[in-house]
Amino acid sequence: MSAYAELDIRSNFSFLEGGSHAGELVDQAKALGLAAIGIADRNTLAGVVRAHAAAKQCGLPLLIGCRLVFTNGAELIVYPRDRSAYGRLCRLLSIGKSGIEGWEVGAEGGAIAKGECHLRFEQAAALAEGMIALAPAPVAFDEAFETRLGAWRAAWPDELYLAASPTHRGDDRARLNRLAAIASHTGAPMVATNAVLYHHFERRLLQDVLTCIREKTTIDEAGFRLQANAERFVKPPQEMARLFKGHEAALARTLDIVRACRFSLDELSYVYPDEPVPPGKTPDGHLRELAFKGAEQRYPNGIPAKILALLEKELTLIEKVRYAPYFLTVHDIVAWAREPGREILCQGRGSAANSVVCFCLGVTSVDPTQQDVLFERFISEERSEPPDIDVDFEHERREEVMQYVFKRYGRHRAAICATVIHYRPRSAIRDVGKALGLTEDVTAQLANTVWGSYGAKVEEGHVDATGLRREDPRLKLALELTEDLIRFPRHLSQHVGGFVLTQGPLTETVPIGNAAMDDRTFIEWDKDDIDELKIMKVDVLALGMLTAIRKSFVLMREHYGVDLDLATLPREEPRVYDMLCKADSLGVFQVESRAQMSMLPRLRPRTFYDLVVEVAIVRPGPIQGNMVHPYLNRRSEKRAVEAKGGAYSIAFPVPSPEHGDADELKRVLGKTLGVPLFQEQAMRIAMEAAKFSGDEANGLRRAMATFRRNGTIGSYEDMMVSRMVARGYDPEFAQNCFSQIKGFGDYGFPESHAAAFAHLVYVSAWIKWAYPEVFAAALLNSQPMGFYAPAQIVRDAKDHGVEVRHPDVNESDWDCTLESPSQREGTSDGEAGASGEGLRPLRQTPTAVTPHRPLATQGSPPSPCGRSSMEKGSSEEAPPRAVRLGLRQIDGFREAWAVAIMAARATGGPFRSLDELKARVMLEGGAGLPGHALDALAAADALNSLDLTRRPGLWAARGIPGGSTVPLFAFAGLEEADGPPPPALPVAPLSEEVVNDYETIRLSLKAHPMSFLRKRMAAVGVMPAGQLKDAPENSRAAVAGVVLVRQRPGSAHGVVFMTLEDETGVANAIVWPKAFERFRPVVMGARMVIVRGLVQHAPDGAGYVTHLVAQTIEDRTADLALLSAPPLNPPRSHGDGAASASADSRDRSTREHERHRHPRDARVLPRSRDFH
Amino acid sequence: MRPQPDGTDASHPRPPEGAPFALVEKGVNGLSLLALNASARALGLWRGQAHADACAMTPQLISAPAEAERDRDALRRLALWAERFSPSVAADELMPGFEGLFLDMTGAAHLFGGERSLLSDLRGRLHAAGIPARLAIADTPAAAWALARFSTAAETIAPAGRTREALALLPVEALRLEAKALSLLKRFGLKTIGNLYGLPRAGLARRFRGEAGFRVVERLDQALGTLAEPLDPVRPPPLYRVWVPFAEPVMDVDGVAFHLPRLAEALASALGRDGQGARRLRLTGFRVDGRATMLEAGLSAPAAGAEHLVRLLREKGLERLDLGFGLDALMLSAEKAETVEAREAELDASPGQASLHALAALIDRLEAKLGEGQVRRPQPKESWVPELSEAWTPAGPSPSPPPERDEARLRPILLFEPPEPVTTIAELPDGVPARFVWRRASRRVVKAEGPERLGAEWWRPAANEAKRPRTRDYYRVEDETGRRYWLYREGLYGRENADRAPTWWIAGVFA
Repeated sequence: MSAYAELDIRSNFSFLEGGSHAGELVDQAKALGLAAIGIADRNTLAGVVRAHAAAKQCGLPLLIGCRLVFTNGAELIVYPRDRSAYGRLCRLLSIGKSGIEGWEVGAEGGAIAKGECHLRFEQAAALAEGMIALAPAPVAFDEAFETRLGAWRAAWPDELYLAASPTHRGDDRARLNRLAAIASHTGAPMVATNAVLYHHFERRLLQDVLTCIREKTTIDEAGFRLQANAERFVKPPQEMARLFKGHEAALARTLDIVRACRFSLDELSYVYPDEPVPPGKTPDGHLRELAFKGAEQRYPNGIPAKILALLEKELTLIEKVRYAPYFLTVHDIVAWAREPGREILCQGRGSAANSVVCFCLGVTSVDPTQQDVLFERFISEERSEPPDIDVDFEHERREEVMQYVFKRYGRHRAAICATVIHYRPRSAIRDVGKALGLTEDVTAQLANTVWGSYGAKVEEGHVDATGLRREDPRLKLALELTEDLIRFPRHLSQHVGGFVLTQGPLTETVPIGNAAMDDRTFIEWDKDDIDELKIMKVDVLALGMLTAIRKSFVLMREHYGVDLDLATLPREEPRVYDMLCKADSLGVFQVESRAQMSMLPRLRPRTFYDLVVEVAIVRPGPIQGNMVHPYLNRRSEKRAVEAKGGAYSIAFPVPSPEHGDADELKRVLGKTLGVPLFQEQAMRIAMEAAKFSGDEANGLRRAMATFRRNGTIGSYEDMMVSRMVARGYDPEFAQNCFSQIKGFGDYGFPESHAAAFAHLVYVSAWIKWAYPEVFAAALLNSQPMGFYAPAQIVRDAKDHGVEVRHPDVNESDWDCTLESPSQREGTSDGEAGASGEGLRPLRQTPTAVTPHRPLATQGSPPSPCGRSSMEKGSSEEAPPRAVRLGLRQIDGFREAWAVAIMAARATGGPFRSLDELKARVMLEGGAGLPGHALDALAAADALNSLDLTRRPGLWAARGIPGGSTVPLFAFAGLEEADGPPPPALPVAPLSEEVVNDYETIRLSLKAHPMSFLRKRMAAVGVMPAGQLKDAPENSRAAVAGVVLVRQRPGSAHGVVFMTLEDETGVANAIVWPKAFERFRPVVMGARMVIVRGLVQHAPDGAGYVTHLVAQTIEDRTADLALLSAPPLNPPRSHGDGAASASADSRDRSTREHERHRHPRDARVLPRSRDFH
Repeated sequence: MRPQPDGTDASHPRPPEGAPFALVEKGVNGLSLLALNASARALGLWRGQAHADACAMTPQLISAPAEAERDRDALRRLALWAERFSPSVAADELMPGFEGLFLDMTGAAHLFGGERSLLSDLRGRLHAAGIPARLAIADTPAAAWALARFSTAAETIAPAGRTREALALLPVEALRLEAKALSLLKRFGLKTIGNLYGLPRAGLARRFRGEAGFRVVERLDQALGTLAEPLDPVRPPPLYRVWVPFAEPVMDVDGVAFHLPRLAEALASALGRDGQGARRLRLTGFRVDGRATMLEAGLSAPAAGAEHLVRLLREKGLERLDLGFGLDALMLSAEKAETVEAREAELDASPGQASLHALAALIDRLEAKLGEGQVRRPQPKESWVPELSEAWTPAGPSPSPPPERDEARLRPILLFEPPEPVTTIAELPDGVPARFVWRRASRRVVKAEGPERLGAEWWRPAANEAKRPRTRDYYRVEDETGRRYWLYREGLYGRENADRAPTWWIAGVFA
């Protein structure tokens, strides 16, 4: 019996070269009876954790190695013998990928691009102690190779072998004999390999395709770049023995190498960094101290007993599982961000974040007394994985936090995780199609059939829908190979913010390379790999809403003297919930989407926990698990019972009596009225009702997380359903529970995250309710973020009674600002306006905060008297301030220009003329304001305070000499003196001003485009959107408007939501798939439409959400051209016989006009925002 | 004059009637639509739209890659045809999507019964050829361009000297400006050409900064005729040109032959008047379908005898004129002429160049006789499969260099096409044959090397599963007489023998 280990294997982490997953290689090797394998990918260790996990699972010895490809093209496979040699290999690769030789000292990265590795043999040899090397023999070799091999042999500190593999060129026997001779000359013993590229010969097809993708060619053109045959697969030992007949020693040496390399990834042990622990203290002691100090601040009137008990319990558990350093590390980052002067807003989430400890440490602001947290839910002793805390920071300032982490721990100990980008159906079909020479429009068509990004293949039905013939041999091949390629790793990218921190040098645990962004380095392993090896990770994430909230807090402090933060904001304000129940949530975190807006009036949140549910329920998990309607039904039952003064109770599904506790599910599902909505609940059902062991539950959890990549969840389905049924549960209930788990696989949403998000929902809703002008300004200043464009934010603010003003060069900052309200708004404004800056509000204490006016219902501005009728003492109250749009709203305007303008204004007062503006504003570096900055101001109509309206302003701005006279003009004799704007400039009609507003600041405060078309629309039976809510249920109606948002949620079974806007309000159209297919071009392409259909009010009859179910949809985009001007050449009447125009030609000529006019001129409005 | 994009080339496969169809081109941002047919436009798709967006809107959109080269050719062809009306025709390709033709009709309209009947004649003929068109006559090319595209009528005449009025109401787009300049004009509210008349020219130009401003004024001046706009005709107007229109289309060669002598006489007398002789002669037939067909002949010495000219063209072969559905006019022109006695010796760069030219000329001559693409040469091609490793490519004077080959992979001097079957005795799975029978003679193998294993080109469609090519193992063998052969076994034992047993073949013989 011949024993053999294959030591030259490339997996698909040798991107576009290896044709098999590590798991496939390992399984195949095991099945063929190989003694061991070594996987060595090109300049990377990115795939080793997966290989390690797979090998461990099937019990095959695995060598971790790397195929070094030097800058001169020479290759060397290396295998570390032990942990320290492995560390040197990581260091070597880190040097190659970052250009940084001394990781501990220097922190500056070299100029090596992401994904590249620049190494020379000498660099490798210097760190090669304890590394066995295999030099692969090229197909054709010469004396130079022999010379080099000899030199390498002499320079390499450990053993160096010559790796020979059969070429199947017809001369293998002779070639092997020659190689054996070279081996004995050079002293590099020959070792047998098969230079494996794939696990099975059938993968040759895919490997050829990968070659084409790599070489950017097609299969017909690739020629000799393809392999000549399909022999580079994992071969059984007998076959290798046959091929290496006469060279038995070369086979035996493979086992020598396996015996010598004892290193396993299991040896990597993780040590927490000790920075956050002050000298002389233990982590646990320090954590306890910080926690209690924090608790005292959180509960100034004494820590409640319940909290005290929980705190003790959690600290004990943390001590037991030794996670204190982890909590301290997170605390350290958060504390740094919060330091005075920096004050970056942040909030933690994740399973461990909702603990009392985290609340006391200030990591999260969700008060644990408001919910009953089960600490064991996130840290269990048997789940020996690090706890999970993600911290969201303001999106504009997250980079500061990241650089702090790099600085604090050093680049050799801190780095960002990788995200392995895998082929998805869309990218796979594109690349395969291109490689097989399908034309670009065919592949584009195929790729376009895939909605969303996930899935295991291109669906046959979708292919048919494109009208392409699936039987076409090339197309068929392409589809088959695409299926193979999906889930292949394509490249490494950096994780959004997952930091790995270690005590020892991280460079000796995993290679670190440069990221695409400057100042970033990232490791080669992704989140799953790190979990597998139990390495700690802290997520430093960016959240736009936090930016908006901080800006809101600043504005509230500056303009109203109200000092609030995430934790001190008044809780459980019923009028905030009133507002949310009416779906008045534009701009509010998380609940502003169409789907959320239609859920709000049905769910009717009244408490914080309702918001937690609201955030989690509009997700694929609960929807695919059919959990939404049952939950809503329970809620309305509960409301009905409680309205009559009764107590509501639920009959929970129970196991048969002999199987134990009838209340087992009540404990899990009580809070959500018996309907599982959260990921944790699904897991708990598995443990309680299906009696999963800790390990099984862990496996299930992991399968859920990687569901869309690996599809391993199916095996758990039978297990869970059958066990539940066996214990007496209803099979349907059991099946539903499992469906929900599968749904979670797509977008797992745990309660702990929902709670953190719900807090921000409440905070942002509160700001919107209390200070709509502050909220609008803050949102505008945090763009881009959220669902809605500035135009909708402004409109919503105006609907809530906020005065919004056009940008102006003498009034606007870069950001949107708040100004004194106009006279018409109130009586006290006169003085306030006179005192200019000095408007100080009278409301001082946060506890006394009341909104300055009642909530306006959508569409009708609030009556000024409403304010006093609602609130006591409103006469003392500061009136709401007006929003002045910032110069940032102007397309193409730069912050530096705005800053310079603000500085000039601050020193010399307002500008009086354009020339003065040009003369006084100096940019940093001494240059004046460039011509196109003035153009932009003029085009945006922001020169009104200089007595220049748009057209004369533009004429004047463009007439200001930029520098020397253009020689071209002089040459052409065009050197006349410039005068005032000529009277010949036509005056713009209002409708055109509106169009120009949209073109320059993407919104208009003057009027809505639709208002100019109202007459035309009324003539064809279109009603204003604002009247839709009064239309009777199921009546026919037509609404016209600009398309704001198109949404096709993956969970909504192909339904498309369209949001239309006209001058009276917003209308929501629902397009069912059948209508969608009929009107697809219009739905997808039109900027303005008429939708005719049936009126439907919210099912609960609340009347806050009205939908129009579309029956027909008409594209009226061309009507927008009417706004720009009256038609240039009024179409001649038919009686007007032009010389030779036949009916046909006249028809043609009109169409000709439309064609010229259609898209370019109609692109007045910004495109809708589309979401899938 | 402007042909509509619907006028697709007849050789192009037409999309089904009424189906949305677009030509797409590849730009920096991926594919975008370049030209659309009426039903695609009716669905709201537009020129310049991203192909992906268009497909999302209209999945049934049929598209084909645009072939700019062929479009240009088609436009050029039409330009040649239009020489029927004017000796100076320019193809205007300046603005993609707005292509058209300029015909210099200076002082020639009366030949066609005045401007109005010229336009209706021209449009009528184009219409008959299936080419919809919009036409305009004006004092300047720029004004005609504008009116042809932006007037309401398909035929427009701007009376001489009244260009200003004719253009006043047209949109500024009609000035052929860049998109940026257009949008700035509109910001000023300047939407018609007439709006520009009242503005100070220098002030206007200055506001566009740089060349763009110059362009606005320049285009306006060109349209109004204060600045000349040179046109670049598709070919230089012939030196001497005579032509004859037919009331009824001429359908056959005999008809051409009948009219030829009269034309030749007219040309000869024109040449003779100037003491010139033709060096290059061209006979152009204007077809009713909007194409021109041509026959050219070079003369080794200048000649001006009508009979000689006729004989020359006859020998060249009048039957080579592609008459299509008939000719409605015939033109004979001298493209090159010299004084009858003068003749300079031609200077050539180098002998190598000369022989290349000679080769090219030979290929041209052969192709002229045999048909286009009929002269080919074998060219090595990168393929592992021996019989696919050469390909016949159209002959050009300089072939591309052959790909590098692996010297260790020896190839025989003669490959059998097709390979011939042999029977062998060989050890499994891939042993060298000890003996084989070919053409009924049994041969004993004394020396052998192999196998060289070559996979099949799996991406080629197979007629059926039983004929699907398999991996081959090639052996170089020598028999006892010293003859060397290239044998191969198709199919691998253990992998590819499930449905079909491996088979043995002789692929060729070595020298």
